[in-house]
Amino acid sequence: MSTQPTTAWRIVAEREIRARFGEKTFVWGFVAMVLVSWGGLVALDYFGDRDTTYDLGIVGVSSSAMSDVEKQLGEGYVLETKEYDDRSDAEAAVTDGDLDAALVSADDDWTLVGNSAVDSPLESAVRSSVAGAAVARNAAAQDVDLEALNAGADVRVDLLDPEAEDVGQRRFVAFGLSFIFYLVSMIFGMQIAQSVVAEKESRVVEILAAAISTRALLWGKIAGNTVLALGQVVILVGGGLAIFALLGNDALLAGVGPAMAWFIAFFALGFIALAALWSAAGALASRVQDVASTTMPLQMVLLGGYMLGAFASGPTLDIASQVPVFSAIVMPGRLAYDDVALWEILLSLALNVVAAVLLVRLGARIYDRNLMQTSRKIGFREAIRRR
Amino acid sequence: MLTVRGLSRAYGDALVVDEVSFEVRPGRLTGFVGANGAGKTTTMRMLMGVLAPSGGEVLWNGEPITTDQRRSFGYMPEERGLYPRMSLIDQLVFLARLHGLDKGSATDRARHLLRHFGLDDRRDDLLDELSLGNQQRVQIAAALIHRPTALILDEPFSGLDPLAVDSMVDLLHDEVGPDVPVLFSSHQLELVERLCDDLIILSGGRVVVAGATDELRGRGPVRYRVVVEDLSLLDTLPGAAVDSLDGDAAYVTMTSGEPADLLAHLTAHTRVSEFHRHVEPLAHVFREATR
Repeated sequence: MSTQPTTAWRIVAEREIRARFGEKTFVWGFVAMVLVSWGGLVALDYFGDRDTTYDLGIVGVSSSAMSDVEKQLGEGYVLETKEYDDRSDAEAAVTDGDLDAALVSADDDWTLVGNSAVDSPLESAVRSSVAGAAVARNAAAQDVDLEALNAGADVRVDLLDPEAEDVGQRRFVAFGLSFIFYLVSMIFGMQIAQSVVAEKESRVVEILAAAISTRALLWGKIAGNTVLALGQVVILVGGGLAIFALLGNDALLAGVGPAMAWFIAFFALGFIALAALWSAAGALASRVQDVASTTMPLQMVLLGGYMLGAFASGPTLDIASQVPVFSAIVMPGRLAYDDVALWEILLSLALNVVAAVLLVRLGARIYDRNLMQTSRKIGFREAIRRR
Repeated sequence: MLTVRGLSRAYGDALVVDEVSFEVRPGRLTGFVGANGAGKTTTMRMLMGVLAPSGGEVLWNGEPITTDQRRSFGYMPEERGLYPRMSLIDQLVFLARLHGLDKGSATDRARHLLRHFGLDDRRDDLLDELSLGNQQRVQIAAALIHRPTALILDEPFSGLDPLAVDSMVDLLHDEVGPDVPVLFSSHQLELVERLCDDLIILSGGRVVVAGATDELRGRGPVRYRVVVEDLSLLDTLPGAAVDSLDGDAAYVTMTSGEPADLLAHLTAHTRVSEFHRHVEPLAHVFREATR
């Protein structure tokens, strides 16, 4: 068809990218988005992943005995102990709020002093530690086999998904991924539509169409904006992963890392699937003001996907993560906190590939047929029938 | 040579261009004239391939035109169009590259044209910062950027003052090769009459007149404009008859005699203050053709 089909679309893509970087709103919008999302991750780490520290005053107890209490508290808790000479000093510290509680021992009498209440993890750790030590001591005194005594009394806890402790944070990441998908594809989708209609409105499209094929123009536009959108997503997500790594939040990194990597693949597919339709929506408009209404169905699809990703659960979520385009938004979010079989991911990806091929063909068809119609807005039904 | 053969375009039931046929010869400026809505723009868009014809064909050097050949044409659409928020140089380099020039030669060519059009010092300005006349110049430069093999210009001079038109025409002569056919549409007949070698008049989607401008003007009876002192003499003239009177002047058509004899006859009997060949302006041809 054309003289240099490969170079033509590249030149169009290059112009598209350069034009975006020439716009202050684009550059600052991007900087703002990066700061907000990275800042959000730092805040998430700061507020979400700190160990709980208990300050425990001890009176008449050796601090070495307290290592057992810390063991009983388990992961996620730190015990700071401070020795006091008498009970009243310790009680004063509790009243002042310097201590969470004070443990007082006199002979075999143990008292845990709190202000209005003692946090139950601390209380039960102290209880079981003291009880364990007492039972061991008594057993030795009575010459009882402690193991025989304890036989059948232990309850073991098996966690099926031990990494999922941080499920709250992972939900938050899922929510964030859906939001980034929604926001970035909305921004660049509208950008494609506006870029198309701006060429119609300024009539430059007639000169372009006389110079290259309208397909080359379409591919160039899609390629340019996909590169920008994907670049933005990679910076946002890659930066997020780097932040987790830097902050040493390895658990969260392991939990959501793969989801974030999948996210980029799903985003690329989901964005490309809609890209030609955004162009088509631009071609249906004749003035920039019309774009808001011609792109409405696409905005609804994105919003729907975002809502599903953020709020759906159970079977709705399972189904939504297989319905193409929606699934591109829903699946990566789900991966961040849910156990998803590999075949589900691959099926979802494959369905998105099929949808992308079909939707791009549909979009290209509408685009070609309506690009030269510059006098008025065109409805979707008419658009598909047009010759 | 660009040949249009039986080109038609219908919008629904309305036939906007109806079996239009004409030629645009190499190295000649062909004027494309018609009232608003005559089908000029539709025809030109079909020539450029941005609009599909309902029927007919376009030939380039006798063969059906290919897409590549079309893309080597220069085109200035009726509704001007370039990127308003892009600098002149970027704009022209972009278009040149779309036409297959590499970056270096695209830049050279764009600079050359901008210099030629007196806009080189404004090359980094955005298009919409320019006056309309200058924007028009950039538009012409855009049409010339790839050294086109033919030029299709839709109302290239509309909105320009006469001086700007002349400088634009000079630029076209300098930049367009001697073998390049140029078709330009206009509704300003005097302009077309002054500039064009050939003329095509379109009316109601049909070609009503086509031919060399001189021939078209010379067509019709040989008439003379005569002003004499003694008007009674005009009642009987040897080998000629008066068509019409316009104040003191009479328009005389030669029937059988020679103009020299007529002049001798008149000077023998009265004082003659005016006697010259009257050529109808194209407006007359146009009015006759589109009546």
